[in-house]
Amino acid sequence: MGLSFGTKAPPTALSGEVVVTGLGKSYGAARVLSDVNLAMNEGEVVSIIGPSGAGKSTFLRCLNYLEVPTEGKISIGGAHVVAGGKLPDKASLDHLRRVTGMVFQSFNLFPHLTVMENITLPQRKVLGSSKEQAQAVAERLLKRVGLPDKAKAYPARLSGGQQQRIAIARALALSPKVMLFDEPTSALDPEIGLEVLAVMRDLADEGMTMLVVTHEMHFARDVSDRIMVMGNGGVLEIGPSEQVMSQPQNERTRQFLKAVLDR
Amino acid sequence: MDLLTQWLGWLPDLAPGLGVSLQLTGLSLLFGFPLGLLFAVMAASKLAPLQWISFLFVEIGRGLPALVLLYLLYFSLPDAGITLTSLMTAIIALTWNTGAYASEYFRAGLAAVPLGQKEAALTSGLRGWSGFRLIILPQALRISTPPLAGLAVLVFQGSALAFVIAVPELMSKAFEIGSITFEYLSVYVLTAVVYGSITLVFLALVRVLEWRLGRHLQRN
Repeated sequence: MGLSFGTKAPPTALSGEVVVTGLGKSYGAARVLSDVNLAMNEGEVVSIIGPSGAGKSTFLRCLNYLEVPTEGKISIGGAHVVAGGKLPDKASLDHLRRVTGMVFQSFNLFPHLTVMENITLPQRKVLGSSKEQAQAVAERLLKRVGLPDKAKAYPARLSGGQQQRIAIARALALSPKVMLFDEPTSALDPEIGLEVLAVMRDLADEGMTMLVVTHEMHFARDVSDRIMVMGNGGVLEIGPSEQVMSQPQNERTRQFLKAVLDR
Repeated sequence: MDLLTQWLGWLPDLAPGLGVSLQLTGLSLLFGFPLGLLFAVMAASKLAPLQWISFLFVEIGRGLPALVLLYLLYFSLPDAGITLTSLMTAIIALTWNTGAYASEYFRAGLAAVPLGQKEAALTSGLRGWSGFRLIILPQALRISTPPLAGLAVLVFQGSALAFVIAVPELMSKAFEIGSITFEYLSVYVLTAVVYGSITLVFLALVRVLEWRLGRHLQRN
C-alpha cells in the first residue's frame, strides 16, 4: 500500500524508497514544473499520466538529473540531492544515477555495440565486473526479457519492441533500486508495445520499484499501485489506480480520462 | 622514343620524391587529425579560453591558403630563431591546415550523434571521458570518416605545394627531370598519373573501411 499525499503543502515526514518534495523547475520566468511531491515504498509501481506538456517527462528526467531541477529535494534509494538549478557534486550525482535505471521512449541503445556489449559495457565500467561476470548477468537478463538468442545482434537488426526489451535489460544490469520509464511504448505500434508491457509487468510482479510515464491506460490501471495525474507542470491528483481511473477527483483529470478512454 | 620506356626510365628518379610526398602527407595526417579532434573538443568545452585557442588556430588554419601558410612559416620561423628543415616546416604547415579543417569535420560528426546517446550513456553511468570515448566518439568517427578521407586526399595533393620551399617531394623531382630533359609535358603527365592512381586506390580502401565501420547499421 502506497503513501499518498496532497499536492500543495509538502508533507512534513515523507519516507520510502523514493521521496520527492517540492520539486520544481523554471527556465527564467517560465515555470515548467512546480511543487511536485511524491513518496513511494519499495516495490511500488506508480504511473504518471496526463496531457502533453503537463511536465511528466520533465519530472521523471529531473529525478536522475537529465534535467536540472531548480528547487526541491530528491531522495532515491539512499541518494539525497537538494536541487539548486545546477548539477550536484559528482558523488551525489553518481549515486543518484547508480540507484536509478532509465528506459527511454526512443530506446537509445548504443548502435555501434552488439546487444551483449550494450549490456556488459556499463557493468564493466561502472561496477568493475569481469567480462565473465558481466556476460553471465547479461545472459540471465536476456532470458528474462525473452531474447536469449540476440546477444550477438546489433540493435539495427532488431525490431523496436526487441530494442526496448534490450534497453530494459541494459538498465537492469546495473541493479538499480528504482526503474524510471519515459513513455516506453510510445514509439511502438500497439501490438509490439504489448511485449514491452509484458516485460514491465513481470518486473513489477518481481517487486521492482517503478515510476512509469505512460499513455497506456490499461497498464496504468492494472499494473500500477497508484496513478499520479499531472497537468500544467503540477500534480492534479494522485491515488490508488482504480480510484483515479473510476472516480477522478479533479475536473481536469476527468476531462483527460474522458478524452483518452473514449477513443 | 617510346613513351612507356621514357616513363620507366624516370620512375627511379621520381620514386624518392614520392616517398617524401607520402611521408609529408602521412605525418601531416598523423598529427593533423588528432589535433583536429582536440580542437573540436576544445570548441565544445565550457571553458572560454579553450574555445578561444581552438577558434584562433582553426580560423587561421582555414583562413590561409596552404601555400601562404608554407611561406609564412618558412620565412618567419628562422627570424624567431627556429631553424627547421624545409620538410619539417612543410609538415607543420600542412598539419595546421589539416587540423583546422579536420576539426570542423569532427565537430559535425560529434554534433550529429543524437542527444539520446549521451543521455543513455549518462544513465548507464558512462560519464565524462569514458562516455565520450566508448559511446559518442565511435559514432562520431563513423560520420566523419567520408569527409576526413576526402581531406586526406586534398592533403596528399596539397603536399605538392611544398615544392615551393624546396622540399624534395614528387613535384620537385618532376620539375628537376623536366629542367634536364625539357620533356615537361611528358613528365608532368606521368606525375599526374602517379598522383591520380594513388588517390583512387586510397579512396577505394576508404570505401572498404566505411563499409566495415557501418556494418552494424545494415539491417540485413
